[in-house]
Amino acid sequence: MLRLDDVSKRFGERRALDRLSVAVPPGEVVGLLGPNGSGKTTAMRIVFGVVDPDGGRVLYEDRPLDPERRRRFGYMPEERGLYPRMTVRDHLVYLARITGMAAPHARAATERLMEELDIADRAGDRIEQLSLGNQQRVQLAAALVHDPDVLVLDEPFSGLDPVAVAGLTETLARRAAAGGTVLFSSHQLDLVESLCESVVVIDSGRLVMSGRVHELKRASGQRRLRLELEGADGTAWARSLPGVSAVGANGAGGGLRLALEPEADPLRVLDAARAAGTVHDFALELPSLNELFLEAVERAPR
Amino acid sequence: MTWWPGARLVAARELLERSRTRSFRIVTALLVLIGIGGVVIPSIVGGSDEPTELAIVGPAPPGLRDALAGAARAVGFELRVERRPDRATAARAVRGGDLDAALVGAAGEGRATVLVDDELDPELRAAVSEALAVTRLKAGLVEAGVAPERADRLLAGAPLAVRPLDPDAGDEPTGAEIGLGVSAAVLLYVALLLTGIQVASAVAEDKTGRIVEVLLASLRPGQILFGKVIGIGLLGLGQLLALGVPLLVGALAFGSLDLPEATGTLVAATIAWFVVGFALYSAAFGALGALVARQEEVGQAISPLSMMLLAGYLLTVVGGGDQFDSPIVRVLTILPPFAPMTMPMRIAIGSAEPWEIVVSLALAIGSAAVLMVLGGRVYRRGIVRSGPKMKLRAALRRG
Repeated sequence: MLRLDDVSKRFGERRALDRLSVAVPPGEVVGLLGPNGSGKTTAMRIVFGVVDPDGGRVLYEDRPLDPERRRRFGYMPEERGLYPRMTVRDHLVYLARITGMAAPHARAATERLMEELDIADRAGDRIEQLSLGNQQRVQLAAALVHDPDVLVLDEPFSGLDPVAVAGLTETLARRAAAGGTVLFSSHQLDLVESLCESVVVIDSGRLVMSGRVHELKRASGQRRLRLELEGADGTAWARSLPGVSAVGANGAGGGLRLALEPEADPLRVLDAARAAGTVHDFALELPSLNELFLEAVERAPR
Repeated sequence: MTWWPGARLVAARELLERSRTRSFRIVTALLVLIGIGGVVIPSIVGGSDEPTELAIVGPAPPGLRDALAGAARAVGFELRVERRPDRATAARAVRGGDLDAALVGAAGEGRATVLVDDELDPELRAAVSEALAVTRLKAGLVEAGVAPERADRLLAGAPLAVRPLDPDAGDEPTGAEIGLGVSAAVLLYVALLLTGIQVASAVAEDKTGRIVEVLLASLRPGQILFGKVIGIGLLGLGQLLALGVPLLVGALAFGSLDLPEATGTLVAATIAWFVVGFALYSAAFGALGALVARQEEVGQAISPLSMMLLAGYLLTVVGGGDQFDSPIVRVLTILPPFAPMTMPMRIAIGSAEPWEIVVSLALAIGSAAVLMVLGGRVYRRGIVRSGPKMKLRAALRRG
């Protein structure tokens, strides 16, 4: 278990982290989510000792971290983090060796990982010669080459195409299933909610919510109605219904999203909609992480 | 990983990756060529030390041969005199380059002719004309009844005793020595500036590329900075050696003939002061490189250090002009920021007292230690600080 315990950090006047506590259990992929500037990167840098916290501490298996124990961590920063002119193989061997691996082990681990991530045929190429997708794989390999117990990735999915997202998700899930602790960050809440079981959502350096995605959604007690309606004008027809409010019109095609309080009956909404126009699509859903986040941020005292 | 192996891995990567670049190979090859050229070219050009060959054609007054050789020695060159039977063969030899000149019609008191290929060297002209005058004058004196021995004595030139009043007389550096000293200052200035820029850029590359964050997961900041400094410093030293070793070998092997005597001392002093100067400047360069937000800011960030190096170089050129006679200049040359550029020249031209060398070395090494501690602190703070360029004062503040 990796834990940030009551961690605070200021940069001048700006409060980057405000008494943030986060727990990352092993065996599952945990997403650290929040908008840009919410403190995700600072939290990760504190885990790696790149930045010293003003208060609080970071614990792994209930003991404070030191440089020696951090060697069992793998880090993939948001941008690059690699020497563009080094070859893939040399770079991975170098990173393995600075974690303390002996040269033969480092070389063997590099070959194995390049094979696993399908970049073995580019081993002798310089990193700057690779496509962005392949560079991302090398970055991932760089974080994995010493077979770390804890894997921390900063915005690993940004800029990836759907195939690459699926591939990375699978790799992370495999690490977690093998007992590893995996934490990644993202500012795209909706994109990643299907990629991880648990999330920690932060804003302005403070915890907004955390837990299993499914439980968070269920615990909100809210439901969303997705509705495609032709012939009705706006959402006036729904306003008279108790416990129903519009959370956004999708514009084209008349797509609507309605928030239903627990007392509202979705079937009565359907009846009202059919009276107002022609219904093409009607579905009951749990709120998205994005919606929960926005709601929580609006509720929170500023 | 313990401290040294970690720093060694960083240094090894720096060394290996840099030595693989094309620019490094080209520059090193050029330096080797210059080093070899510095030895070979003077010994080719030095062919002018061969004695000048002059032939006497036809009858000549007695003693002309000795008078010619003596006059040439007095002017400062070596003259070999031979005889040729007739004007035609002598002219052929002059045209063919076997002879530098041929003297025709030396007998009697009339006009003598000197055959040359193109023009008559002024020193040779002076020697020939003096020798002719002396021999003809001796003939006249003998004719007038003066004993030949007395005539010889009178014409041998009055002996002059020279007594120097300057206690340092004879230690005056030659132009060639000063020239070499200035070359050493240029070399040290360029070498320290380039290696310094490399350290600053390497640090900035790590920071702006976020590579340092990956490294910091495994290494301490001090290991990274020290490893980079050592790697780049060794490469710089290697390049200096590529230039210096041929020069040094040349100076030791044929030195006395073709290179000024001080060359060996100067090459050794240059290499030693590069090591000291690099120790002094490198951590500061690394620290300033750690403050930038973008790679393009490196040049501006390190400008205080490049100014200091330039000042040391200028001090050598300006102060060397009058052999560092001014006391203010002498003090400045001993101070750490300038000593790496100025001291090799002062050592080479013999203007540095032993205590001055010791004091300047001690000051430089002491300052290097202080700068490494301060530089390490600035580096530690700067390297992880994202956002706009950090102020040096902010990075130094607080323990």
